[in-house]
Amino acid sequence: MLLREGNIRIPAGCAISGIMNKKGLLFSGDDIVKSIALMHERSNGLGGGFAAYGIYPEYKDLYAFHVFYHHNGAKEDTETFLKKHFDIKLAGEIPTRKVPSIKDVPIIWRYFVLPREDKLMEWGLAEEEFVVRCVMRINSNIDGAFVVSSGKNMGVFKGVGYPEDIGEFYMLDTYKAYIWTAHGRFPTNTPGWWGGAHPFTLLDWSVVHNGEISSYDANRRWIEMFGYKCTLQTDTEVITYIFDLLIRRHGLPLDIVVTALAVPLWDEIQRMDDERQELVKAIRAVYGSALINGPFSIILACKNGILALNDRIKLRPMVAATKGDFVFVASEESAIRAVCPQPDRVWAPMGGEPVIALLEGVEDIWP
Amino acid sequence: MAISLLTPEFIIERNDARCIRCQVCVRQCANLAHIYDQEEDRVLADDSKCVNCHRCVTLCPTRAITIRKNPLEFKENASWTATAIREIYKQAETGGILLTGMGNDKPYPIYWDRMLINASQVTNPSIDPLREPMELKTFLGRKPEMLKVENGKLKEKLPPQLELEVPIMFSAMSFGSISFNACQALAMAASELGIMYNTGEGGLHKDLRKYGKNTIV
Repeated sequence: MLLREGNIRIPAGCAISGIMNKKGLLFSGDDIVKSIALMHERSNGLGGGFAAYGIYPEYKDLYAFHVFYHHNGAKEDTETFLKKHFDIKLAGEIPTRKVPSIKDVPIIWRYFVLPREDKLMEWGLAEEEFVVRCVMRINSNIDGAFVVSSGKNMGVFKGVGYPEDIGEFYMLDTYKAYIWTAHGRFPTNTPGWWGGAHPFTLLDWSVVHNGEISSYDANRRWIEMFGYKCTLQTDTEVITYIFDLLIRRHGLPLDIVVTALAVPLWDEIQRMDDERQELVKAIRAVYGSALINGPFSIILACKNGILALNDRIKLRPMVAATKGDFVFVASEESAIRAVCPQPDRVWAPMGGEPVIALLEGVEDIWP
Repeated sequence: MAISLLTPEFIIERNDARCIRCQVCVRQCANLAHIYDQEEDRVLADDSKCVNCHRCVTLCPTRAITIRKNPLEFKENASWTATAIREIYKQAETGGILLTGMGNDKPYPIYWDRMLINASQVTNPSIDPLREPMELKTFLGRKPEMLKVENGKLKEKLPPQLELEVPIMFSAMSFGSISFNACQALAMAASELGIMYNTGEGGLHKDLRKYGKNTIV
């Protein structure tokens, strides 16, 4: 008999990990797999995934679309759509290894594309906004097709399985990147399916998340007013879109964005000086619906760097460390020490206190 | 005027040995149920006007007054209860619909009291104030679609906003439709709770101006 909610408990919790080299030095996926594999017990085999930045230097000016298809019809429809809107410079299957535990694999394809000039003119949109709308359209209109990532010189490799098996499956040892993030999934309230594994992406943004967003519906209703469509049946998706809206479209500085997502409590705001109080109050008034309630620890990555953030009362674990040019963030300190036994500095960031690591020579996380 | 079929609901009993003819009941009854007969130097009562508010009972210095239910029986059965018969008489006589305030006065099940609002959305176990802060502050007013921030400061001020500590406001009730005391109670409650009350069409009494921060005029 199927046990009802409350009668079954699977002891697990998500795990996240991120490694970045601030000088942009490329390194293979071995370390990130090792780091996330150490937290095997936090996952339950229903999802694992990786985001990698810097993996396609020879195509760095092209948008790299990683796409899942559940059936060939979806592939045909999507390719018709892509050909109409993009110049496809290169397309092919993403190479994988056979791994016994990875089953029910979708068709996994990769395209290197540029928006067609005539379409950009016709739609009257900037290149990035054009790409965003096309991704939303594929995800919501084409049955059985999901864009896994759509940034430049980056890609996401995810699926149903333990993260170390997913890493093996996608042959991550053969890729080199300067930022790697990883996620081991324990889906609590939503199905474990390939599209629903982390990271969640849009353009260069990718988010891995441990926790659950109790404000999901409020966030979703608000973000959908700006043309984003939530199609992946997982709360984390909405965080990615909030970052994209606030940073890319509204042009807000990162500290303001962090304040909007993990806003201080009212009694803390009361103790701030007048000018700061006015600013934070305005953020809460205007971006109240961007506030993420519930326990979370997330790593946002983009081509310029990473941002790690906890909910404002730190209900999920997160540890950060540095060693030379390397920055590490993970759910557990052990996952950092597994790949970097003696870091220069290790600390546990406070709730709502961001850890920001940017590439050398870069001023902000965007553009 | 036709004879009323409505018999008095209550009976006013006066202990004449205790009554000192002070007539406080006569002066205080809002329904004019007590009458002083000067010729006989007696206080009389019209039971049909009594609503059993106990004002005369409590004000009587010699505790001479008792109000009792009228024991008069109806020819009633399970379909035609005394209450149903009385209500039909009342509505037929006045042409109005009977209204009661403060909820259901009949022993019908009140489903609201049996409902449990589970505040969990996707969280299991449900969110609670220990695990997650619950904040109710709400802003009313036009808001820009996005903020512009420069050097850590707001570039443009927000349009004026009403700040409510909880997303509740008193609806508009005029001074006149409710008493001064009721208006003052609303004003005090609004300022205590950090919310707004509304003077409706009744104007603002000058004694209530100090609650201006929480008043909508």
